Amino acid sequence: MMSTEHTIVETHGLTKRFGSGFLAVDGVDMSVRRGEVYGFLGPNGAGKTTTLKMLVGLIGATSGTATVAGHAPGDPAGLAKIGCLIEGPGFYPYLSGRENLSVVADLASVSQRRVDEVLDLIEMTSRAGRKFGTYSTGMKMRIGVAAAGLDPQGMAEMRKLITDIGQGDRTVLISSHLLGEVQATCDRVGVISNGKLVRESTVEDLLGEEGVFVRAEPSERANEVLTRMFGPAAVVRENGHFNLRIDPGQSLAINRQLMASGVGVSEIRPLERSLEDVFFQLTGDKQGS
Amino acid sequence: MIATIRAEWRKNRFRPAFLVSLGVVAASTVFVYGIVWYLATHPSPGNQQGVSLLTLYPDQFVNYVMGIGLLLGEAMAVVLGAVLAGSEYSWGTTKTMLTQRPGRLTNWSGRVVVFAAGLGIMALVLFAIGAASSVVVAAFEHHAITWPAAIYITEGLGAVWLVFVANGAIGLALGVLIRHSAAALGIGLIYVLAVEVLGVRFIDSLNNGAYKWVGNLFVGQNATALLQSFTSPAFGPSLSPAITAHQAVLVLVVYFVALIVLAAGLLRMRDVS
Repeated sequence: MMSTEHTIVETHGLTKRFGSGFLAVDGVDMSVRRGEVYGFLGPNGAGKTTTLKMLVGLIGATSGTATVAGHAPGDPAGLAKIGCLIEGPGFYPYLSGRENLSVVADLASVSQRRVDEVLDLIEMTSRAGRKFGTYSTGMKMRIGVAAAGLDPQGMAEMRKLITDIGQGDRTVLISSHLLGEVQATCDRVGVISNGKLVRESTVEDLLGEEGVFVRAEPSERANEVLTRMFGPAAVVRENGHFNLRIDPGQSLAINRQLMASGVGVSEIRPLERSLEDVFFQLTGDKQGS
Repeated sequence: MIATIRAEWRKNRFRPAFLVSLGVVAASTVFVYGIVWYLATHPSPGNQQGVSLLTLYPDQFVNYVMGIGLLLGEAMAVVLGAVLAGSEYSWGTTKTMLTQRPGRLTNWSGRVVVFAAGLGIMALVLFAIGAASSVVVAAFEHHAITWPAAIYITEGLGAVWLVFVANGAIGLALGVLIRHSAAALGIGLIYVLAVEVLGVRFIDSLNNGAYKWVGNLFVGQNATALLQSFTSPAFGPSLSPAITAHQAVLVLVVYFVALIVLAAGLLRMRDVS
């Protein structure tokens, strides 16, 4: 399978079952397009890291196919076109930050001049001579991201950087714990849960599903009225309020009907959802990844 | 491949384990020369088998460092191999290295080449310090400084290097197999220093030595035979070895190649989790 001109990462039925029998990734079909920032989300143990490791060839797939930049995972020609940082930065503690980047530059056939440029970009030039093992966690991450070809300088600049990098032809695939950051930086997201890709869409589509928020008393009577109006599938009852999956234009009709049925409405407004809300709905994981 | 070798050299040239090994080899050589020199010049009154000063002079230095190399080199090479391969997993650097441009086998090939070169440096240090120590002894004892033939020195250096790389391959393979430096190091040392020695003795004792040929296929037996093939009258009478130098070279080369290929297969097939 070859990826199309506009697809950088493409998987079909990608599955990983470990020797213990544990099914970590279950038939994932995902596609990451050229030039987009793609957020890969899921609760702990959902299969995000295993999927990413399969994409760079560190782990072999049990079944299914994948292409990365038009090549099979782990193919040197494909690896030459990508930079990756999976889990954490893995570097030699007895070497300095500069020497570690030089080792990676040698392997990647990149000029040693680039090492100094990257160190300058991540503002690590003055500390580049220190041994990697003595760096703080943040400094280690900077070196790690620099080795992957990126240059973060704090969260705000990281957000801008990812967005900038995702411009033009470059593609960014990030798996983050920070849903707010993903919402702010990503064009599209894929949500994985229990090894299955449960949703893949643009952030706008994911958040933009229409709905109405209603807080009304008595709650039981309100539930009866709303269910009669829109059917049980459109009514989600949560912590004393209702999320209705309907056109917000019906708010006035809802208000009238509830009032006519003797239900007091204290709040009614279009539903605003964060990525965290959607993530929770899709995965049932309150804490996110 | 060149890029991989360059990267491997860059990361290993200042590796503490490598530098410490060189230091240990150098210090041990000086120490052994010093102790033996003292014993040779201060013999115990009741000891009929004194240490011959003749063995410490430059013309015998190749034979002398062979003994030191056999004692130390096997263990040091196993330790270095285990540390080199195993720590890549402990530090998580395997992920970093294997997600760069070169493929797994190219990565491994570069690592093996640089490892073999490192053991070559260790053999050179052993010979250089041994030669220097022998010159010091000769100078103090007012003995003429004459050197063995260049070809003899070269052959000796090659033999010691081969013993180093064959044992180093055990450490490398264990590091890849176990994916942990400390465990690989421990198992490697126990094997080389105890299990193999006891195993060979056991096999040799079976059925009046009928299976001695099996015992002669072990790394330690062949390393010993190869280094003992560099004999000299100065070291006293020597027994004719059961394993010829040519056979020893062949067996050690086969061990090295087989272990490296086995480790390459493991590295290529297994997941890096």
